[in-house]
Amino acid sequence: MKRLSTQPCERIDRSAPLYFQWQGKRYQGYAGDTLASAMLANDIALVGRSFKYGRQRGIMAAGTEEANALVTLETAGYHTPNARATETELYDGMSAIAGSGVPSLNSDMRAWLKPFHRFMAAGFYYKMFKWPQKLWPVYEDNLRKLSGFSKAPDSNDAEIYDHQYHHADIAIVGGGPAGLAAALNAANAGASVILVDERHAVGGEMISDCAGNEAAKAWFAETLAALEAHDNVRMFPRTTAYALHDQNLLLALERRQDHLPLGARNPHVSRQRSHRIRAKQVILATGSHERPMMFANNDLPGVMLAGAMRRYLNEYAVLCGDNPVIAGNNDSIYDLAADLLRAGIKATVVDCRSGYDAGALTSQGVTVRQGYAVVDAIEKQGRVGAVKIAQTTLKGNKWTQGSAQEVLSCDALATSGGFSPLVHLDCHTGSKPAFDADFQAFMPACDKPNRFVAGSIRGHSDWQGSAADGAYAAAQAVEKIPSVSPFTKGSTLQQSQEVIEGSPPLQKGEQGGFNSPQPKSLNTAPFLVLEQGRGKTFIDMQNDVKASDIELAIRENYRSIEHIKRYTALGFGTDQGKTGNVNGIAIAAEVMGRDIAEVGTTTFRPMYTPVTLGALAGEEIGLLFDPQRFTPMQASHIANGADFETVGQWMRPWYFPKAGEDMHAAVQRECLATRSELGMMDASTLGKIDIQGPDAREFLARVYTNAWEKLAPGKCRYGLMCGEDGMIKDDGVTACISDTHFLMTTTTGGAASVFTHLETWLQTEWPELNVYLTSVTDHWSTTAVVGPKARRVMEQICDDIDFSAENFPFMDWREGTVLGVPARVMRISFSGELSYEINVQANYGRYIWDKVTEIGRQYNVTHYGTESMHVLRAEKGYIIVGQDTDGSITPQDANMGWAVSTNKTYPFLGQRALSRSDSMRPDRKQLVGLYTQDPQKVLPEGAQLVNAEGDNAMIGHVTSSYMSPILGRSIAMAVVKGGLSRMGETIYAKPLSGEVVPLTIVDSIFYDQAKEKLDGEA
Amino acid sequence: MLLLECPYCKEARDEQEFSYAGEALIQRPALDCSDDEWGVYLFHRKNPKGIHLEQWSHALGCRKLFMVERSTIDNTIHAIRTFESLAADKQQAQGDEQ
Amino acid sequence: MAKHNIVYDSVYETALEQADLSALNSDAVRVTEIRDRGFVVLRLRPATAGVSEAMAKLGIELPDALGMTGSADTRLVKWISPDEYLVTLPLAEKDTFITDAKAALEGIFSAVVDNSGGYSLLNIAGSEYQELLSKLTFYDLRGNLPVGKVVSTLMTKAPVIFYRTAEDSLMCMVRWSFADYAWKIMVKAAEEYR
Repeated sequence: MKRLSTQPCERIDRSAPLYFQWQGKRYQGYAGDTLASAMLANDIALVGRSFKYGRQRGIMAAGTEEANALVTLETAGYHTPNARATETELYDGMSAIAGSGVPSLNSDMRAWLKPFHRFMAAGFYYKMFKWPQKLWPVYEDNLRKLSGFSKAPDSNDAEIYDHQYHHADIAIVGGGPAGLAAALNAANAGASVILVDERHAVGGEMISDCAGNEAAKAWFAETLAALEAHDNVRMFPRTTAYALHDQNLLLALERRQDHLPLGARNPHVSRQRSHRIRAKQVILATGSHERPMMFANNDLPGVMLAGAMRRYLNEYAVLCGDNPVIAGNNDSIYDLAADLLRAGIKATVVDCRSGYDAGALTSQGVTVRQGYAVVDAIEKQGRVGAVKIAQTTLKGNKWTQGSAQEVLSCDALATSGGFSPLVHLDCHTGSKPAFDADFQAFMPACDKPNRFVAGSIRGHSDWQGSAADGAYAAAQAVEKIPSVSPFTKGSTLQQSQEVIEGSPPLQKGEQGGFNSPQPKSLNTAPFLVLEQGRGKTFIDMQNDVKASDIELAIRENYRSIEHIKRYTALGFGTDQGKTGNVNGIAIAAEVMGRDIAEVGTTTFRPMYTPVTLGALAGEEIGLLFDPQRFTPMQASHIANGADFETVGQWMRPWYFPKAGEDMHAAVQRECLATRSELGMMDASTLGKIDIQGPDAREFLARVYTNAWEKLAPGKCRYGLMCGEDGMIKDDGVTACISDTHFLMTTTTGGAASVFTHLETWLQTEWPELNVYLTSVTDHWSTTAVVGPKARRVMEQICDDIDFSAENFPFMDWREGTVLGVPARVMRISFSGELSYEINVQANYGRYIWDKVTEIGRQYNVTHYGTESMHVLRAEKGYIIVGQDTDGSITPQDANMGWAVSTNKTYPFLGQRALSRSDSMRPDRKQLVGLYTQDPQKVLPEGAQLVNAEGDNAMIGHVTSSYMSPILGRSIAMAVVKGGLSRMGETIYAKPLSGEVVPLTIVDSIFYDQAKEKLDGEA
Repeated sequence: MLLLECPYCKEARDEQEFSYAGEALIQRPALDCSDDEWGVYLFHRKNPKGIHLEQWSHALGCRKLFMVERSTIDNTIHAIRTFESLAADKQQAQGDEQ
Repeated sequence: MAKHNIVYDSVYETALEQADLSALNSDAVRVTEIRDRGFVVLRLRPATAGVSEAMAKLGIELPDALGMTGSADTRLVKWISPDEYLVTLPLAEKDTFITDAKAALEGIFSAVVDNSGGYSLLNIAGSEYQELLSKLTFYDLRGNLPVGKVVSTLMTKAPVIFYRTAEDSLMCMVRWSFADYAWKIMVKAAEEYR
């Protein structure tokens, strides 16, 4: 292998030599090289070890279909595992090591096991490592060390990723002649176009065509220039379309900085970007992948696809061998022979067919052996050194092989077993490709609306045909876009025909329009599956699946290709069987004696090629993984030293530790201060829904379990909400503003779902109710002033409300002016203490909070967070929906039958379900209080409850559990089977710690059962 | 990711703006029905292979609910209807019968 | 009950009061928070008898789906839903407008709701602002949001209302509690335009 002098259409920049490291050794390449082309130019044959047998592997392709050359790039934050060398653009200073080889690439453990390889066929792991079962952890540990390719990164990614959304009339995948012609013709017609192409520059396989063809070269240059002049065309090179979802949502990964030296990468620019493209029409011009020929030892280094050898020659000026053999079953192999001849190399062509007129080549010294096929490749110094060939004849679809074999020496072997259209994207939305005997390939169904295929995916084999097909697809696509004018639509196709010289003429169809251009045939012969050497014929290089493995699977009675795939691992891994799948299907068909069409393909699912997790996450990582919602008081909470907890998406102060305090100490202090003097808490996160309309009251009666007809303006009421299944869904206080106007509060976490629930009932079941719901959660900020001294503070900050207990009783609300700001003050309590909630427009929230804090200092005001709130409410036995209930608790289960009114004119949601026999069972889990018999023992929440020490039958679990500062003992709430009728009984908790904790069932109101504290200090 | 044409915003929007709101046209039985009937109403859903009538809410747009006829096989949207138009059709049909 | 004017040293803050606004203040991307607007929700069905008279009395016109009427300087009425409109107006006029609207709609099934604390109102401009927003929202703001149009959608995971009142910039209303998130994700996404 060597670098040739300048080739006619090479895409390397010889004025820009680059240096890179492979396995710690320094080599030189050029700008424009891929890592693979630079390795080949440096005569590096061994690039990896195979998955199962540790066999030596070399570069076998020139693009995404590479199955062997998986390498690890760079280290630490730039460590990139399993990069395909063939897709990796070379940059100066690149450091790459092999992704496989234990302990080293040159000496692999798995290869040492060679004598045992014949026992390691498909299913070997399942059969071998099953016994004894207890040894599995040992097996697994060792197998894991051996399996896979590159090591996973061991540090955080140093680079950033992002997303971008696009909208276009037409999205085109593939920048070969079909894609380019489609883009230009669509753009000429006035459509907006996005074209993505996975290579660093467009052109596709056309670059090789340009090498010997001035017309091709001219068309390519003109088309490219015309596209660049269009401002309605966006072209994304280095961008792989990896999924095509419903209604033309195309996902594509752009490698924005991977081609740059590490030092030249802009840290403010994403390394990779995931594009989400929504297009009215999609044209798939994705091309096809060449299939290798199947014969023994077809995986030796030096054996590669013919098209790859041609690309290395034409695009990179790399000669893969001085004495190559080209073996194949279709006309394309002669193109490679001709290109090699131009470079001064006389290859030997081994064509299993007969009849191709190769006179132009033979007359110049190229040896052509028609009716012969390679049956075995022979190793010489770590790479292919010779091939055995034998005569082949085709009868029907079955090949027979002559007994005489001949050995041809060589230093490289290029093979072409036909072409498989890249139907992947077309299949992502459920279409099934169909086998076509003329092309010897599975062709795309393209049966989804607003989608077209063009070029070699449709079987075109020359650039003119592909270009004409692309233009045709564009004409079809623009026809379906209403915003494109009919005049331009009509002229597009005509023009394109005139421009593409030598393209197949369009035939008039029966309907008056044109039929699409007919592909020029490569005369691909049926799959050549020989009897000889199937145990060494590799079908799936990446997973070491051999022809004999597929035979074995069928012998063991796997019949569906999906099962054969999973038993053998055919088409697994990062490669997903790009070159191997169809060959595997052909073997399965041959062994089962069925048609390939009947066997069918496995299912193509996204992603087409691996996508980094970083690109999937984009910018939504770390603190931006999910929105953190803040109340207007956030800045003050931070200044006051709060620790935060996430409730739904909200960040709420959890507790406010003073120097040296842990959470326990802080909560102790906060609770006692609130019960003895004055506490403050931020209640802004509760959901708030403004309910207005003549039927507002009726609406409340239907969605809450309790009665609402008598609630007067100025009053508040606690409401319990059930779903139609009778289970508690939410709770909260609703204030009556006027007869037709209410303000509902919901739990913090339930706000969105309650709002949706209410809207759904209004819009679907009760359209007759005249009610408007408006979310005002963010409009109001809420400062709760809590404790025996709360009234004193309120009187100081508001002079237009009478705060006396007689004139402003519990569960009333007043409108007034607090510290100069219009406010609604509600006297409600979630702690059992005297408590006022000051609601003001969010813009004044922090002002009110800070001012009340300042004024409250004279009463030793203490800020408290959600943890103390939980303790204070548990002391009073108030439930938290979602903690003490879990979607299986009815109001009766929660001992809240008092909140259920069954004599409404229109029964409330859930009422019917409450009389189901299951809802009436006496042994339902019911909410009770628990005292640990050791008052200092605090149970873990979630601890399982049992009847007797020795029991394991669960009768319930602990839902809430705290050390109560005011009671000086541990308290807990729990759901217990039939618990409400078991007061005073002893049961046991069995937490995960293994202890057994004796408990007494008690009432769940632990503190101030007489409600003496509700009115504050005397 | 679906693209749904909101019948109120009169524009196709991305699925992320919508929330699925269950099977459509479920008849709520009279409350004196049997436990079995109520159980069917609460918990039994069709889950067909083929055309499914379902409710969607344009939750992050206009917040209106509407009905979608979607194929569960290939996600083709066959029709989108407002509940008003369905109610009007029903009234029309009843009028025709009389 | 007596209605007081604000006489204390009350401090009016907006949702992005604490944000470092200089982080998005370049020729490429310039985000400014508009501080002096009130937001009033009108809930009504436009075809209801008396609504057009009431709107005439209020001096506003109800827009069609995804449309806006009025002016950004005075009163801008935005369509949100077939029975919901959002009026943006100078903060100082908010209370009078609410009183007038309630009076005008007396006897008509409707709701007038003050949501002035509910949002942060942002103006987003600069040479790269469209590019920036295309990274954060799937809605086609560039191609499908001309002057005079309003859409409710998502900015990454924050619910927002986008509308356009001028060719070279965009208005964005984000719920107060999501404003910090929306701001931070814009700052992060705009890093490459510094």
